[in-house]
Amino acid sequence: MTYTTFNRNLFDGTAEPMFFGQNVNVARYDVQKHAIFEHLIQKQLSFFWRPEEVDLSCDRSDFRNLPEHEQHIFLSNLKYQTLLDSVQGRSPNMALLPIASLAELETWIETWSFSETIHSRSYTHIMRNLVDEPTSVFDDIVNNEAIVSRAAAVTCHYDELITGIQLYQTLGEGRHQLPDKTVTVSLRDLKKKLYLTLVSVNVLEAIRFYVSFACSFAFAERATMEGNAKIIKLIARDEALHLTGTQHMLQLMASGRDDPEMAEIARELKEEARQIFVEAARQEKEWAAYLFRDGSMIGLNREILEQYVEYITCQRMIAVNFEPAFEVKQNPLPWMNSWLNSDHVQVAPQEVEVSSYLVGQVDSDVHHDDFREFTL
Amino acid sequence: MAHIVKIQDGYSFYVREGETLLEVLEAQNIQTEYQCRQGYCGSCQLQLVEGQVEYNREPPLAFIPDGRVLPCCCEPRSDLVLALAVPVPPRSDGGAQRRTLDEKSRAQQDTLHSTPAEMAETTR
Repeated sequence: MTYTTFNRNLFDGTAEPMFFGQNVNVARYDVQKHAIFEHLIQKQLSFFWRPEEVDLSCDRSDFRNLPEHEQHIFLSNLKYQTLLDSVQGRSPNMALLPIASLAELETWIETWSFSETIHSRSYTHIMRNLVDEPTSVFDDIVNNEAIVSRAAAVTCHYDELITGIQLYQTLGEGRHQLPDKTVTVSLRDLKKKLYLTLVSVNVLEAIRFYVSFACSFAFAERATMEGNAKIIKLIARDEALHLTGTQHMLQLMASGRDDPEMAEIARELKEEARQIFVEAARQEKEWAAYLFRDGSMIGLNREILEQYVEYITCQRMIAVNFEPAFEVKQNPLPWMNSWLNSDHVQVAPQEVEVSSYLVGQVDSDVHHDDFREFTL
Repeated sequence: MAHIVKIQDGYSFYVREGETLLEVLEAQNIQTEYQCRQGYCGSCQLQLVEGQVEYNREPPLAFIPDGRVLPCCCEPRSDLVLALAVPVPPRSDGGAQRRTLDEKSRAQQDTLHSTPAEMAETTR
C-alpha cells in the first residue's frame, strides 16, 4: 500500500481504524470517530508557551554555587531530557503519521510532536544560560555511555516500526528479496510493532521523564534553580497530556472497539509489553545510581529515587490495566504533587518573571549606563 | 442530605456539598496521588466499589478504566465505597467524623520523608 498525501477515494472516515486503514484525505473535524483526540488538541493548544518567557538569569549564579556533584546531577538530567525530547519531537511524526487513518488522530500526533519541539527548544534556552560552551554538553549526549545505553531502549521500537512501514508501503505484504537479505512483510506483524512502540512511548512519557522531573523539583524545593523548575513544570503539564493521549490509544486498541485485530494483539503481547515497563524501571534505577555516583543532594538520594521509580512504575502500569511489577506503596516524594499540579502553573504574566511583562518588577538586565550617575 | 464516603476496610466520613472527591479525601488527610486536578492526567484515579459520582465540570480527558473514578473532578452523587491501593491506618474512634486535630498532626509527622526544603533547614 503506497502512501498518498491526498487519498482520492470517497469513503466514510469514521469507519476507519486509528492506524493501518485508508490514508486520510480531507482534514475535517466536524465528524469524528474518536472525539477524545480533538479534545486533546484543544487542550494542548490552550497550553501553548515559549521558553523565552521564563527568566533564567538567577539560575546561572545558582548553578555556579552548586557543588560539583550536584552540577553533575543537574546537567545529566538535562542531557537525558534533551535526548528524550529529541526523539519525541520527530518520531511520532515519522512513525505514526504515515499509518494514521483518522483526521483527528493525525492532527493530534502533529500537535503532540510539535509541543515536544518546544521542550527541546527550552533545553537549549536553559543550557545557553547555564554554561558558556553548550556544545560540549550537547555532544556528550551522543558520547556518554550512561545516556547512549538508554537511548537504544527508547528508540528501538520506533526504528523497527519505521523500517517495517517503509517496506510495507514500497513493497507491500509478502516475501521480498532485498539486495542484502530477504524480508517478510505482514500487516499483523506491523500492528504488533505498532503496539509495542506505543507501550514504549507510554513508558517514556510516564516513567522516564518523571525521574528527571523529581531531580529538578528537588532543587527548586531548596529555592535553587527555580527558573529551570518553572520550565520543567510547563513541560510536565504537557507530558501529562501526551501520556493521556497514548493511554487512550492503548486502551482503545485493547478494547477492540477500534480494530478487533489490535485487541487480539494486545492480549497476545501483554507479557512482552509488561516487560517494557519492568525493563524501563530497571534502567531508570541504574540511572539513579549514575546520577548520585559522586554523592547525594539534599532531599534526594539514590535510594529515594529508586523507590520513586518503583512507585511511579506501579501507578502507570495500573493505569493501563497491567499487573503492577512492584509492591504498591505510598508516594516516597509526596511534595512532587504540588510541583506537578497544573493549577499552580502561574499563567498571569504579572505573577511570573516574564521578561516581556515587567511592570513594577526588578529588571535583571544591568547596562553600563545604569551606573552613569554613580561617582566614587 | 450529605453523602457518606467509606474507605473499604477503613473508616467513613461525610461529604460537604460542592467539594470534589479529592478535596474530601484531602480533608481527611488521606494521601491521594494527584497532578493536574483538571481531569486530563488521570493520576488520581481510584477504584469505586459502590456508588455513583458525577463529573459536573467539563468531561475529563483522561482515560478512566471501568470501575475507577477521577476524584479530582467528580462529586459524590450517592454514598460511596472506595478501595485505596495503600490501606489507610485504622482509626481508634471508628465513627463517621472528621479526624481530631491530634490525629491530624500525627498523620503529618508520619509522612515518609520530609521535603528537601525542610531537610535543608535542619542541616543548616
